[in-house]
Amino acid sequence: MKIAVCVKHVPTSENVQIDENNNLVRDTAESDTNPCDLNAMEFALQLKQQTEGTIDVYSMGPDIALASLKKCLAIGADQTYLISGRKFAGGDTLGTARVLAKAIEDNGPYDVIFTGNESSDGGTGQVGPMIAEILSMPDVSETVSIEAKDDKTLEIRKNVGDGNLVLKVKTPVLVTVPFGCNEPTLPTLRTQRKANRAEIPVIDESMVDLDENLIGKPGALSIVTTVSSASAGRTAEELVGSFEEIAARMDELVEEGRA
Amino acid sequence: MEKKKIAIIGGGIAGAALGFNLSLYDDADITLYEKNRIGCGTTAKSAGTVCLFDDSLKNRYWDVRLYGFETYLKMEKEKPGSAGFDKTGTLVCATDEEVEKTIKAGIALAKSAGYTGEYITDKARIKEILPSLNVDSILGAGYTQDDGYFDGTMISNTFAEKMEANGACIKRGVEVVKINTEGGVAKSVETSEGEKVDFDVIVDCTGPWSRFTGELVGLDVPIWHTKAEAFFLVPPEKKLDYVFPVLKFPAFYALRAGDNVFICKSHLSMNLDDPMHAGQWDPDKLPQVGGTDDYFIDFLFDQMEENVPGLADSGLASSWLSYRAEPRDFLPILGETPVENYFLCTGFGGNGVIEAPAATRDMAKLIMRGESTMLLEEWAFSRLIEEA
Amino acid sequence: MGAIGIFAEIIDNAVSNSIGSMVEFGLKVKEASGEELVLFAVGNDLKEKEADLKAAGVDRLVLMEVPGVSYVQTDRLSCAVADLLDKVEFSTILVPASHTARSLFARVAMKKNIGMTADCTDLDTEIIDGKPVVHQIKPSFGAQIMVTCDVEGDCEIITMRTDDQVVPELGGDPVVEYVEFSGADSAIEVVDFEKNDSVNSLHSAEVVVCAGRGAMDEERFEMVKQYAEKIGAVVAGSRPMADNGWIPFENQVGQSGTVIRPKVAITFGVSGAIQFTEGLKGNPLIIAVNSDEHAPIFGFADYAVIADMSEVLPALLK
Repeated sequence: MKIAVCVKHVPTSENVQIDENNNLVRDTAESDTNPCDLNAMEFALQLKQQTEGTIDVYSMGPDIALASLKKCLAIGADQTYLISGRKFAGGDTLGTARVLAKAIEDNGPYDVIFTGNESSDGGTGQVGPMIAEILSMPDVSETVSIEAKDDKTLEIRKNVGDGNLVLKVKTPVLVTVPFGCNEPTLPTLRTQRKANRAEIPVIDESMVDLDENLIGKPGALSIVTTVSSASAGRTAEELVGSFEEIAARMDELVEEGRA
Repeated sequence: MEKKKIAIIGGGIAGAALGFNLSLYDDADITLYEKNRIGCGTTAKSAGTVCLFDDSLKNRYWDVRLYGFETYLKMEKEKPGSAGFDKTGTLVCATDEEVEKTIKAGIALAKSAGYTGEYITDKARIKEILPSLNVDSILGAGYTQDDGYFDGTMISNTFAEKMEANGACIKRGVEVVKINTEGGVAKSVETSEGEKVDFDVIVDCTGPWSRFTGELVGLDVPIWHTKAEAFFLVPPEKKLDYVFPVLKFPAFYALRAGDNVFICKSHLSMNLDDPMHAGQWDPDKLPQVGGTDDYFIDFLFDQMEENVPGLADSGLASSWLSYRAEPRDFLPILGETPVENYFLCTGFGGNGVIEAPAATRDMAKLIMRGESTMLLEEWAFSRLIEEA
Repeated sequence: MGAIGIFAEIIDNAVSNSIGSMVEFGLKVKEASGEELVLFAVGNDLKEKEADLKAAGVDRLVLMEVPGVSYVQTDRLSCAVADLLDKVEFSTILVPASHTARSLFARVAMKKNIGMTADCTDLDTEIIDGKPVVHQIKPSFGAQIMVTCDVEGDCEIITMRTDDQVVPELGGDPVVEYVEFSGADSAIEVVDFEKNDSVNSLHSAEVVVCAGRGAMDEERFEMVKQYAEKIGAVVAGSRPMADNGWIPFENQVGQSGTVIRPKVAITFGVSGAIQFTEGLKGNPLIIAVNSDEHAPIFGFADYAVIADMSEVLPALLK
């Protein structure tokens, strides 16, 4: 099967800062691959092995995202592409999905496209299903296992809380994968070293034929107007009272947090 | 009783150990300023190996090593876990005859202090201790089961707990932003909380931050940052069915970290004139994890393939970068400075955990009684001024 | 003037518990804009669910029958919803932030080129130039920052985090309207359901109880384990716990162990060395129990219990 995986390179800092223009200060040093994208990559590897397929990985973002692509190469991707251009910047999920879908379509058709369930920064979970919509394929979220039944059919288990739905899905399909559902393969010193030397092709704005008014900042319909820190530094609130009172409050907090 | 008011800047292992040693004098009035958390900076990224006979600190200073080791052993015995001791033993590999000699001397010293140690040339036995090793690349190996590695953050917090129990004050989350001098004498500090406090003595324990701290009193502290790039490897077999000892080669070292293995280029193999190895950076900009350079992957891969082939195909679970603070001779800077009442206790580089107990014991005596020691004389700031 | 739409998700042939919260949000927008509040559902046999959908304050109920559809067939359902959007002119569409609903409406947003925000926790409404504007407030970066979004265009889709404990006030008297959609096929076929056996791995655990070196004592650790069992949590620990054999290495949280992303973590006797905190990601709610008021964990946790765990745990186990 011909497989595509979308990965996002995200800031990992525990101390996000905002500048005077409401923009995130993205400290380039502290960034890594979006965690659940590696779970998506893992299912791609399983499917590649099972079907003797190939994996192409796409990441949209600045040059720093090359680190994620090199990691994917080291893990077992066959080809990776950095999608990068000024005109792609400042977009919302609609614009991002259009650019990714177009790049994928131009190199396609793919039998299966994997994405993580959501990114750890924006966390919208929209881009995957939007790509599926553009490419006229079904999407399955919360995928916890995937297996090829034949060259056109997949058996997918989708987590629905108290259990898994077993689905039979015709390809092509887009599958989104939650964090922790499998154990991602790690790069090794040997494979990472090889990947670090790889030339990664860049797909820039001249290579993506899309209406400029539908991508990037002009195409964005969802606009961030204000940004504020949720809490200035993390200082624990002390629980006080009798041990019974503390225990009761802890029970409440655990239930609230779990919901 | 007139008490001596002492400010310690920095709550890493050096600051916390110094605070503890000073708190043993009843005429010391101590305030430690830590801008973040105790033992959270370069200390937190230390491998914490305190081995009886490797040469990360030359055998000339073997007593310093032993003093550190035994301090932590007692700490751990008093309260299990408080020094984070993992008694894995150590295997030190001899790559040439020179190294072999050093190891053998180390074994003699360890035995003299009542510990076990042996130099093994039987390759089959070495392989038994560490199956992933390429025994053909070494002459032999020194081995002891008595030591292992500790946890710098836990040790720092234990020292902090002890010094507070002795009445010292720790200001957490408070940064010293200004140091006032009058006529070449350090007088007071000003903090990020807007406080101004007078002190009789001010001690810089800020390690990689010392250049910045020194600037506050107009002092050029001659330290370089060397990159300590550490990688956590998941061995191909996922679970090690043997105890992975601290493994020392001249160019790198490794130790177990749970089911994983931690590897790092050794600090003495760093070249201060190689911009890939060393430079002057801002430790505040260091990320907690990641930030490593491809260079070190290349370097460590070559080393693993040559020496520990069993690890060359290990998974790379995570990595971090820290800055060691190294003077040109890789030894710390202790004691007085040209600025009166301003002391240095910094530049421990890759050896902070090993050296802190002995170095701060002597520093406390110097500050409280004005008595120097042989160690302080050898590691004095003046040695670096004369060189320049 | 358009209408405010609330998507009532039908899961497993029943109205989702998110409906109570959703109606509250809808009423909040209605209060500012004065628009008609329309609750709509798409699915099978909706007649049976009609009574459960008649929430007080809702003006109109639009029920679209899609014969034989499953709620996971977002490819087919998105065609149905797009068709419904041609019939009813919405200015705001509120959608519960469940996995299937957000997937479904992401597709709808793309079909119709409608701006969409995600996972909002609150709404703020105001009238600008005579037009109602809904400001959407959402946490970002794992709740480290709060973001306010506005959507441009005539319509907007907002997915909302809901509190499923909010019970809707039923017995309203909306105008009820049935429509049918029979077009579009789905490439997804539901063949089976497998109930979860309660295998709770540390990786996917929502609630984790972490023991640190303060818990290295038979009696204390036993209580920690009992507490974890009581609240359905997985037991993990810090490095000293693993090094000393109290927990297996795979249950060690930290830089050198496992990196986890639970929703809630309760720590007992964990000092909070970076080595440990680096293993706890995704901004979970953290409650730390430690007898040392200076323990670094309190600089990391949300809630602090400064006490000896052997006094707190018996109360928790009652």
